[in-house]
Amino acid sequence: MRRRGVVVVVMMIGSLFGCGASDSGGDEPAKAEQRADATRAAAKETFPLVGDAVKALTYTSGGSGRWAICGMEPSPSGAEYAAEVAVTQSDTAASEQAELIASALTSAGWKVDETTSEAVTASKGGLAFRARYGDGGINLSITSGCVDVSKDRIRALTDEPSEDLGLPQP
Amino acid sequence: MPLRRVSRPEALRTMPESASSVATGIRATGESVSNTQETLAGEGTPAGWKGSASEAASNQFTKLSGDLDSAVAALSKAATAMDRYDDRLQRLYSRRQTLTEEVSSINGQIDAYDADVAASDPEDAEAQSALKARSKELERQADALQGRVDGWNADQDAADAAVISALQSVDTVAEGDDAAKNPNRPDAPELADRLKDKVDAGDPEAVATWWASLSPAEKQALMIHSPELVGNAGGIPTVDRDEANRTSMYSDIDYLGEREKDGQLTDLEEDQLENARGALKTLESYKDRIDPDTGENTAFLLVFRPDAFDGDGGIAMSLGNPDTADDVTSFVPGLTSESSSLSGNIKSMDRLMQLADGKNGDDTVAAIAWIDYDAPSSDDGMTDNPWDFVQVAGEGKATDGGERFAEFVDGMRASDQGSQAHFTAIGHSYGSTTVSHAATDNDLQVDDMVLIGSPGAGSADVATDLMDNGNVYVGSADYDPVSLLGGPGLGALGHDPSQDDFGAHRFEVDPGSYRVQDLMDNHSSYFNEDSTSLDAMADVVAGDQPDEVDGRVPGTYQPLSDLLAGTTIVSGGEQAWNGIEYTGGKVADGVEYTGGKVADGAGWAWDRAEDAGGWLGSLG
Repeated sequence: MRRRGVVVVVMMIGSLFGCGASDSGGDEPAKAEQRADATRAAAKETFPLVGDAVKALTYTSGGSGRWAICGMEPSPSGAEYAAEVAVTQSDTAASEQAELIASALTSAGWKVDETTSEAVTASKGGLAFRARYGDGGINLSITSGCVDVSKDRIRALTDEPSEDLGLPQP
Repeated sequence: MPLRRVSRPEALRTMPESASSVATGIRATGESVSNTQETLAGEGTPAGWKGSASEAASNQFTKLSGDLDSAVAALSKAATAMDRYDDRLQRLYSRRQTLTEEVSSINGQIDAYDADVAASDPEDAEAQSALKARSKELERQADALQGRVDGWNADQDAADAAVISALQSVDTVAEGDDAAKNPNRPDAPELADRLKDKVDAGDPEAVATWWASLSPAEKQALMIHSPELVGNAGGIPTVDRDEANRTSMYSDIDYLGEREKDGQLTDLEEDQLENARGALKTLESYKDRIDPDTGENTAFLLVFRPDAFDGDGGIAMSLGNPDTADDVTSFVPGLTSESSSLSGNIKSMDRLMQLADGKNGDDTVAAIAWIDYDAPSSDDGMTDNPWDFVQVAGEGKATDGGERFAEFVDGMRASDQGSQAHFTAIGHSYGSTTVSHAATDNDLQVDDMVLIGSPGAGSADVATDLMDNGNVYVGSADYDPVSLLGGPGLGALGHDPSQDDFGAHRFEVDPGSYRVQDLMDNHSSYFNEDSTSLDAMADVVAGDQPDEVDGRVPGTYQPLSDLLAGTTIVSGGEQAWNGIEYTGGKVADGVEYTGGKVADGAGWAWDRAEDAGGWLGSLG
């Protein structure tokens, strides 16, 4: 009985410390780049469309993209690429924005999942779009969904600085 | 005559964030100059240096110190001017949003009127009379609104002119000298002493009252002289703390970056610089996120102590302004957390905030990641393995951290504006023990408490020891080994709060993977997107009740020893199977390969088996 307990402890320690397949990172590294590319491309196409729809006058910047962890430390489960920009001024009243945004998304091939008084969410090709609006402006984001890569790769990706998407100002 | 549409207000030429950013840059420069000026004024020439050369150098230092003081005075005035400009821009921004809404509405009414006119019968006198009356009323409203739009455009011009004039008033050396000699110039060192006394007295309400009594010039002078004191003082408004902490951050990056280039960094300074750069990177990653209700940037740096805890650093950042939010939550992460962990933890807050915001109607949410305690870390020999909790952690750091966390919450309560926010404290892992100590030892002022993946609730025996109102919510994945450290019985870090007899509200959590190599993933899954635990926590933050499940009762769940044994056997079987598959049918090779790996691991593992056996034994 004691012998069985020792074997279990040894196997447990071996597994926890790398003798098992504990950090396989199911998706190949190239998948992460593919998802980031798809997210960037969608952001560059969709954000200006939405901006035009609400008659945007100013954005926070040319937009930014970055990796963020899925799950949490000490054992994150993956990484997600997120592209964001905010419309800080527009010539459209806040009360009219939801309808205009949903319409622009539909015309660009997005499936609008939900429209509320605060936000519009939509999806396309595994990407998730979200616009959150109010009297002070509109946040726009597109996220890739979590990509299952190794923990070392997660940390490398999330260490990368934000990148400028280079969206044109209105 | 057709009615004239109201023109929209011009676009705001300078966004408030831009003015705020410039003000921060001026303050950071001012702090660097102020530090140098004080050094020169205080030190003079070295004691061993005598004679005429020493006297000349000393005189030169005094003159240079005076020149720098003039620069500090000028920068202080410039920062005050920019801060005032920022305030004006924020008001203009808000008014512009309102005017845009009103212009849209009145122009829509005029469109409808025109359509009705086109469709009307010119021979219908009664209808024409009504249209005429309507036209008159619309024209009156449109004229009044156009006047306000024109007024807004003029106010924007006036704001720009005012800041230009204010900056020009201190852009020469002579004007800097005048500013330094002005008898009404705020006495920054004296103000700093007074603030420090109030902070040391532990009364954030008094800090809040005193801060509100200061003039804008006094606030700016203090933020330039002692940004670290202002930024970390509970009771000072979030916006001001953020500005002061960003000033410290930029100043540190500038000053320490220069020392780095010169190869002069000490080990502590190296950590400090890394922490400052990490904070900036995280803030930058939210530069494109605004509060859609106010238009202000959504990220606030509430604590910035990059040299604290032997270089691990202390930091807290909020998404959303906790002073104005209706629902506020503050999260305390656990083992191995330090300043550099901010990025991942604020992402968890981002998910939680967005979900809670969708649950609380028109109410607003702010979510804070608080990492301003000395969590057990790699410096203490901590790894990401559960037995480190027992062998390394102990409760000491949770006790100290609990006191700090309770003080932080007191500070946030003191700077709260309007009706008091609904406040939820969340602790994960060792952070849950820390939050528990904040409650049992320091009268933590929160409405609700959430403990997830808890190794033990400190000295609390039951939920009401933590919260008189019993509002303690617990999430514990069935296969999270850390959450099994506290019971049944009493663990090294206190009771398992998910035990039924503890009396907390236990919410549903996905059980996790039943493989030994995934156990720590299970411990790190509580904020996963679309998880039941994240949804339940969002309920609590939004002031709702999450769905409850039964608490743990001995005999109805796997205790830690069984979980480890069971998952090891399952994973061992997988390994052998993977070995066979890996060799593509070469069974003998596969067995040899697997055996070799186990043998390699076993030599090292055997040395620790005794420790682990002892640890298992200690669990009873």
